[in-house]
Amino acid sequence: MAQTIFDTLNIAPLVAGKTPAETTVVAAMSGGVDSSVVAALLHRLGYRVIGITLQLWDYTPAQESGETKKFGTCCALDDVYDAQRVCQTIGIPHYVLNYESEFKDKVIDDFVDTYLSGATPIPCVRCNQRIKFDSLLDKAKQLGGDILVTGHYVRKVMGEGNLPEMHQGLSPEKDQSYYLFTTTPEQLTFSAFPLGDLTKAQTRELGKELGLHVHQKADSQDICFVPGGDYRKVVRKFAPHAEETGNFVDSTGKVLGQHNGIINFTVGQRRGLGLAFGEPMYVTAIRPDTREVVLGPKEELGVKTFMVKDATWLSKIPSRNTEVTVRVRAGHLGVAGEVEQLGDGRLQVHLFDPEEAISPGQAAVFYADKHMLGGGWIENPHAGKIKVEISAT
Amino acid sequence: MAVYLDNNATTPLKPQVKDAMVAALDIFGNPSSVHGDGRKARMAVDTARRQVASMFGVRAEQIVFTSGGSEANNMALRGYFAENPTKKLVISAVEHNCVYKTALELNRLHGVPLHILPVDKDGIIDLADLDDTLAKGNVGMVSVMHANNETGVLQPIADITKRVRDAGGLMHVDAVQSAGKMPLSFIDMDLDILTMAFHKMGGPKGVGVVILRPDIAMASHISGGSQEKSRRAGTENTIAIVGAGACAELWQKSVTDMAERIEPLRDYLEKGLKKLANDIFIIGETASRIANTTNVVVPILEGETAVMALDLEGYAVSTGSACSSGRVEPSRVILAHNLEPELALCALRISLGWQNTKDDVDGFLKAFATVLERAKKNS
Repeated sequence: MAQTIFDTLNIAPLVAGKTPAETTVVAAMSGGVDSSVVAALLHRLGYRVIGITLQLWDYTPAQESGETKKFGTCCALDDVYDAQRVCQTIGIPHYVLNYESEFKDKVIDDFVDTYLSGATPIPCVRCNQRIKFDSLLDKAKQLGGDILVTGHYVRKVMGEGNLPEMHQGLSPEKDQSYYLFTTTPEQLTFSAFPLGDLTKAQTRELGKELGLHVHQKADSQDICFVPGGDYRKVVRKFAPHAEETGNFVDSTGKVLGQHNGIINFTVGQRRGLGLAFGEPMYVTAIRPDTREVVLGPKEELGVKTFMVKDATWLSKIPSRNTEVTVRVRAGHLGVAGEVEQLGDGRLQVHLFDPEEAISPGQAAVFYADKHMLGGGWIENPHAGKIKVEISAT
Repeated sequence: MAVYLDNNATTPLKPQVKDAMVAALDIFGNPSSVHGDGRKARMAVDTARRQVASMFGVRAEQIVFTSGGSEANNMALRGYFAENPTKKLVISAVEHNCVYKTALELNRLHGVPLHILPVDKDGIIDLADLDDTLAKGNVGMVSVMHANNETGVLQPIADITKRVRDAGGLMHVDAVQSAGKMPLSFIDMDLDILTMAFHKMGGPKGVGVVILRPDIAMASHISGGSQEKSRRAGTENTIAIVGAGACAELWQKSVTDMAERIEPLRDYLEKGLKKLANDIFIIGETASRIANTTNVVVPILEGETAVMALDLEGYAVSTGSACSSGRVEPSRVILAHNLEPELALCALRISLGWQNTKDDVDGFLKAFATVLERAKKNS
């Protein structure tokens, strides 16, 4: 028989000192191909696998506007069914946990808040931090799990003192370490990421080999609770006042025109300004308290120093003079810089060269080569101390 | 094979019931047809009707077959209030959703005046509140469940019925959880309407009944043919109805099993549970209950987690109504017992059935101890 991808895999025991048959693995399953392959693969390798799917968001039309619920419009539920079907097919137990209210409180409210404060959120990080690696990890322990596995493309590597480190996935275009920067050492110790050494194509091949009906399922492109990508609709729903008009101004404060609400803009944005200038203009800052969107030419976009808050570290904190690679958004290849500790989880990041489009609300994640060290949230220098309330005015 | 201890959700089919149904698989005729195949099916349905009638001490014509307990309860409420929309409907706070939501909808969409009776910490309705609402007059129907599906606690039906009689209202009892777990006499209980389903007592899913006092006329809530004496349109589910009949007849032969065998087993289970931790308590423990149900609260262990962990150990139990499982919100029924939401989330239902043995309970106690130890370690 011809050798298959399955035969070429070499996966180290997930829990040291335990055979697969003695290891209970809790697989976080989204219903997509990645996590399905993880569950099926480990089952095939002889692990005791328990599948868990989180139901986070029911975005049937009724949620949006009180319309009657329609069948066939709810992708979230389809994903739950896909995960269920995978588990039935391979013969492992599967449970659905309803975290809709926690997700609303801990992820969606933060998403709306962040837009209202003139910043651009990354809800997937909040979800990883506050739901998946918090609530779910706890549940996994309660179910007698020895380890939690996910379909993320990152690698867990044993480093100095036998402490686990998180490294980028081997396939650079799929690496998801940026989204996992808030992972704590305790969480990492209890987690494993079997796809870290694979490419997406290899994962799909494995899915086919393992007989999974989802092996050709499309990757999710959108934020799960923003189907079609129209995030404004979500913000508007929870904060109807979010689209109050304001002024476009230049860096000297001169009014350039009117805009339709700060939530429609992200630092670095060029398109969709609705104004014509002699030269290309970019959003360089957002001031939520005065509802001003600052525009400027490309050269005003460059930033060398910026502030980061709520920093978390998965490894030793780098000293002031250590060069690190800084990634300022998902998909960003990273630029060189240094990190200065200011206390209370605040950092000042010094880049060696100016970088464009440092967007408040996004994460700055620090690496030593492939090794993800930690990260924090980019502050809006213009947010001041004004508290933006989520409520209709 | 997992040990099944979730018999208030549904039960495995009794072998004799299964045999009767298998034998009926070839009866394909439409019971309403005039020809021989139709007559054969009619015979099967009406034999079952007599068997069911005998179980409750009523005449066969009082039995209306439905698709199950939910439909039966919908029929009881909707059938009556379609004709009497200005009369008051009285239910309790711990009714099953098929009564509770139907009542809310009758109120919201059709303006039926609705009163919901509160319950005490055991889940027993407040009779003084009932007296108050009855004294205000205009009572159409009082609909109260006999045994609660989540706790097994029995309502004082005789006390309630007497008051409803005096006030001139109709008395409906949802007996889905008590039928098959204790003898029920429609006449002795002095009821106007009783509803039940067979899959909670070793019968098949998809069949229930509404038993009506002979002088109560009720229009079909489904438009269509004149089946069931025009009280429920739709071709009869012959095979399931045959199973219902067999189940009813079998019940009369083993009527004491619940009281003599299952109740001591349940008490043994509860004794074992209480030994495992000091803060464990059982909802409605001192109240009158059906023989098979335990609703245990373990403050350290969330019910949802316990259900999954026990499933992994090979034991099937639930957090309450199977219909509401998969939610993290605490049960409306348990909350109505004045339990704090955090404790209500820890309610776990173990419901024994005809097939369970002492070995099942011993094994369960062992598995439960394992799960509890783990919860202690991780809390």
